[in-house]
Amino acid sequence: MDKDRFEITPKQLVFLVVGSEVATGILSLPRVLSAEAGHYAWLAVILGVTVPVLSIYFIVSLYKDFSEPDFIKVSQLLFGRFLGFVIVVLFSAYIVFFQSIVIRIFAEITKTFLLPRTPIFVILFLILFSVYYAVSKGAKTVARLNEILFWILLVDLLVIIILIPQGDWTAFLPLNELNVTGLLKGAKESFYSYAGIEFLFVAYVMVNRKEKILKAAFTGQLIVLLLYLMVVVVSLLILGPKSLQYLIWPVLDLLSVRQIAVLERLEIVFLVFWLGIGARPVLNLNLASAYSICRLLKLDNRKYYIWVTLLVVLAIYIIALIPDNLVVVFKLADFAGSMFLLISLGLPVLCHIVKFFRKGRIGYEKAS
Amino acid sequence: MKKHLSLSLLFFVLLFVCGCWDAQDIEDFNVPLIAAYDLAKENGKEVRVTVLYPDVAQRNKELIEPVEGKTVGDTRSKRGTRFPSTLLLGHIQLALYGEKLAYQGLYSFIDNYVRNPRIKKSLYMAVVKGGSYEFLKEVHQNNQYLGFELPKVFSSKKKNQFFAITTLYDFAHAVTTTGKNPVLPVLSADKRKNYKIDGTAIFKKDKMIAIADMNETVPLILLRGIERCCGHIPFIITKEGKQIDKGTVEIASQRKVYVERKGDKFIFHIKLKINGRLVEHYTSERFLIKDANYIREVEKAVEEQIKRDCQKLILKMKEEWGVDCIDISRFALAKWRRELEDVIEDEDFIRNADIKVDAKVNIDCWGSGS
Repeated sequence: MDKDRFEITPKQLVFLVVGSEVATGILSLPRVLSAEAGHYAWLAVILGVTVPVLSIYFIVSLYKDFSEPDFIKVSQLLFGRFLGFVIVVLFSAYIVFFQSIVIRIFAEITKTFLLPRTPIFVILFLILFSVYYAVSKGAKTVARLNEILFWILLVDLLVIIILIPQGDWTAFLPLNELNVTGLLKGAKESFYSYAGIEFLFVAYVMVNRKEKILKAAFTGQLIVLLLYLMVVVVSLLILGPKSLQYLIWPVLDLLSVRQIAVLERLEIVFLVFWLGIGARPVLNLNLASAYSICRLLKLDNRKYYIWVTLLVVLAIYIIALIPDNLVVVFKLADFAGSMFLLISLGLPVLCHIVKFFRKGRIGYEKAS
Repeated sequence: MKKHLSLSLLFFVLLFVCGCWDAQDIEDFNVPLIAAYDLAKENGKEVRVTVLYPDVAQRNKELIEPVEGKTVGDTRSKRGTRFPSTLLLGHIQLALYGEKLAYQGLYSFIDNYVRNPRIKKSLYMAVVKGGSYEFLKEVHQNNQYLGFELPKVFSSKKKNQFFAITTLYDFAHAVTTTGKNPVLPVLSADKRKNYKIDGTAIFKKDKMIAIADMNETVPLILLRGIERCCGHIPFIITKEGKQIDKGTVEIASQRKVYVERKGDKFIFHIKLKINGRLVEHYTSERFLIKDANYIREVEKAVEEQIKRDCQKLILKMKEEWGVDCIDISRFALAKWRRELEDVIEDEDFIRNADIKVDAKVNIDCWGSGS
């Protein structure tokens, strides 16, 4: 591994976890959750987080026994050369597909709220060009960028707290009429917003103090949970579960319900920062994808990493242009959410099962 | 080679700068401050949209442009054929709706606002007695700065008057939420062509069903429990049927609602906690610092007056309007949502409910006069 460009600290991992998950999903999260779970949408947020939490635990416990916890090497050790190769290719393909959806939704929001006359392909190009530039500099740059953007995001999202006194607490009541099926469906809907933690599969090897990874990843996940909870709670308070269904991106509408002195239009302030924040998952997962492909094909990172990154960005760009409209994009996002379940939970569980059965026969294990 | 590649990429990026598509010269626009909606006169099916905007070319001049069309969007394209300017809708401060249109229902006429992210959800809404175009035309003759002045009536957080202040968000939220109904302030022009707030429009979802006059507006606002609502209330103190003093208090009210049920009967207890200060009283013989009972008498007089007005309004709401215009249904929903969700908006629910009001007035500030 090229340590100068790819080594990150556990603290940076916290920001990378937040950056990989919090993006376009948060803007529609209150609507999609309350459509299924009604006024229990906040509970669906808590239920939904169990998937990334389990995923973190499984990934960290999988890697801790390997002397070189590299995703490609571990995959090939566990599944053999061919199957390992296929798994890494599928993983990278999933990332490209998922990030195409994320970036397309990001572009749609930018088009709707900021640049209505600019064609989608131009918006996508401009965003992905910046993404490419940042990713080509390596994990260290991406991690630092995530750290800066995290603080901006925090300020950006915390402004919605000022709406709380205006809220209607009866929107949360009663608490004794829970519809379990609706709640489970709501939790499923949250998967798209929690997707991104699978980044840890690749990022694990980049972190310099491995013993702190679990704590760092859980801290990042807790921050994500708190941010999602805050957004969903304030949305329910201000708009209520029924009104939320009338708005595609209710969080942005939420910001425009009250005129603030000096700033006047809060949503405009949000959107200005949003341009940086919304593309973070693409940055992080693009890095994961390009890094994995380089390692898989045994290419020299110093020479070929930027070209592989360019190819990945191009693939994301082309796939992002395919959906005809927002309805198709949301359907694909729903599908991507289900894929997330398979990749983030299914893959580590499968790895653990294989590891259990092949114990003692894997050469790179610390224990052996 | 690398340098050339970077430069050509940079050039390519510059070609795609978003300004190429979205750049617009601000001088090509006019910025409407007020938009007014009416049913078009001819057939009642078309809409007439009037905008009031300050003219960029002629300083200190506001223009009023009415255009009729099949839909709101249609009026926009027709406006283009009649007037040279393009309208920038992001700065509309106030939307006015004619009385007839309000009776027909307003949701179709706010959808264009809800849908357009450039329009702020905090814009104010009001109903106009008669037609809103006629109102604008008439009042504007007397007030050349109406576009700047009228929205300020709503935005300058009035602390000396009770009337409804409703934003686009408030209206849309009430229309789309079970158990809620919006109210809008009513504007009218007097004989001298001055505008005034003349009551409150009562809505059943998006359709106006009645107009409450200004006397009914005060208890309505108090009963709705609008956040930190405050204003001046005159009082009269009587003894053995004889008026012994009168004056004014400035009050701020907070509402608490408790709901219980006995079988199928829902009983709402509304508690108004009112704090205030004595603004004036007319009798010069009574000294407040010497007469311990005096302030209690004022408080009692205000309490009784508020209770009386509130009960009168509740009676009218139950018997005449048949709609929850005081925003209490949500408290019943908070307890029995699943059971009531489908029936709470039926007229019978509010007609059969038992609504009790209690007011507690505390005048803790008397000013510096003794």
